Amino acid sequence: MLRLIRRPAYPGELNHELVWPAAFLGGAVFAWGWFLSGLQLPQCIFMRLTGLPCLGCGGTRCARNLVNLDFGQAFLYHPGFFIIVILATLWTIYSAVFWLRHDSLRLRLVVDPAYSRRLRIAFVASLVVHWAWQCYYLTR
Amino acid sequence: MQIHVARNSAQLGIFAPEDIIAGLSSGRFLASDLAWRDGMPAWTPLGDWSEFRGVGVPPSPGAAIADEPAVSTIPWEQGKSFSSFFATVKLAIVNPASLSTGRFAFGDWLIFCYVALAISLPFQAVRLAFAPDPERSIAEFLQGFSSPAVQSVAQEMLKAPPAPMGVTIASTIGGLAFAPLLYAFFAVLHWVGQRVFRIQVSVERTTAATLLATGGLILLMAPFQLFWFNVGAQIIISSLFFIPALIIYFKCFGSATGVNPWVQFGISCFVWFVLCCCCCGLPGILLWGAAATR
Repeated sequence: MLRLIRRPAYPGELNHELVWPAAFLGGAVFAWGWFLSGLQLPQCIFMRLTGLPCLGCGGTRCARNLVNLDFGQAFLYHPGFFIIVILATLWTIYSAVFWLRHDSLRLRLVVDPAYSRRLRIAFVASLVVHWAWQCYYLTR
Repeated sequence: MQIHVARNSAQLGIFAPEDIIAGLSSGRFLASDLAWRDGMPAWTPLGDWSEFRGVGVPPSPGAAIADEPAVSTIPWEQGKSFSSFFATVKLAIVNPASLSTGRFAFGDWLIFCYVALAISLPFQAVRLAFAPDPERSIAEFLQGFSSPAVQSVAQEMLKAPPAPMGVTIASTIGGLAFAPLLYAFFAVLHWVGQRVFRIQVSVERTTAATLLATGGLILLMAPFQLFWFNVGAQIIISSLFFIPALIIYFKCFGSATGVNPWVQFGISCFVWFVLCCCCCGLPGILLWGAAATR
């Protein structure tokens, strides 16, 4: 269904090994600077209007706990954001190794076309489960 | 064994050899399409594969040209030197429309942005000499106003203890080192905005165009650091240059991405509005945007 392969980049292919680590490191520096400044974000408009969290609610608290290396609490506040940060960290490490080794083969995720519809359904279902968790945990 | 096929910088998918033979016969695939399978060192045109030779139509001249990289007229993409750097900045200001021919590989423009920052370093050093603590200088300038509201802001700013010189220098250098990465991060957010409005520009082109426009602007704004000997002059000149700077930035950015500058300005406003109003809503918008533009 999903598998990782190593292959050379085709001409004009997006440089995933450079763009995403750069943006991730930039985002991490931005978040670190933001938390250092002590500035607060305004309350979520969706939360204010409906009383329910939006899909992004808890993300800032998750990031704040990640900066403080409290991984358990970070996961509870926003599992999706936590997983994205972990995957981005792993990708950044892989990219660093890729550039240091001057590798010609790049790691790519391949989705079997026969399973792409199932994967999309699973993705939407996981968003629903995620939101249900947020509704429970963030409104306790 | 399955074969990966790509055409014009986009992957068409993964296919079985018999699908490729059928596709070549029907015209779905071209002999000039690039293909790769496990064990091969590089992507090769389907027409050069021994098992597909003689199948389907010969490569059309148009298709062969389509797979060749576009010829860029941007000096920085033709060769990296200080002269090509300044020629690119000049081109971006004088004739931004010519930027549309660029390849915009992220790595090239990351270097461009670092060069712009390196050139701005002497100006930063002058600023550090005149105003090692800009916040304090601004607060002292604001104290000259009679308005109680401005006075209270100035008092609040003066409360913070001045940072030691070592910390100021380290944070300036660190800021310059990470600045292009920060621009890349905001460029990715802008790309999300483009996706929401169904504008199909690749993330690499968006980030590279951001680095080009920002690099040019850094170079243009660098001399303004010399005005820090007088904070009032610095604030007035920066304010006067703000709108021309926006025009230059979005003309460059619009041309480089092949999108109307006003549209890019609107998307930028939208992204910043969302970022300021509900920072955490961005992942939700990304998911919605990605789903809507499938």
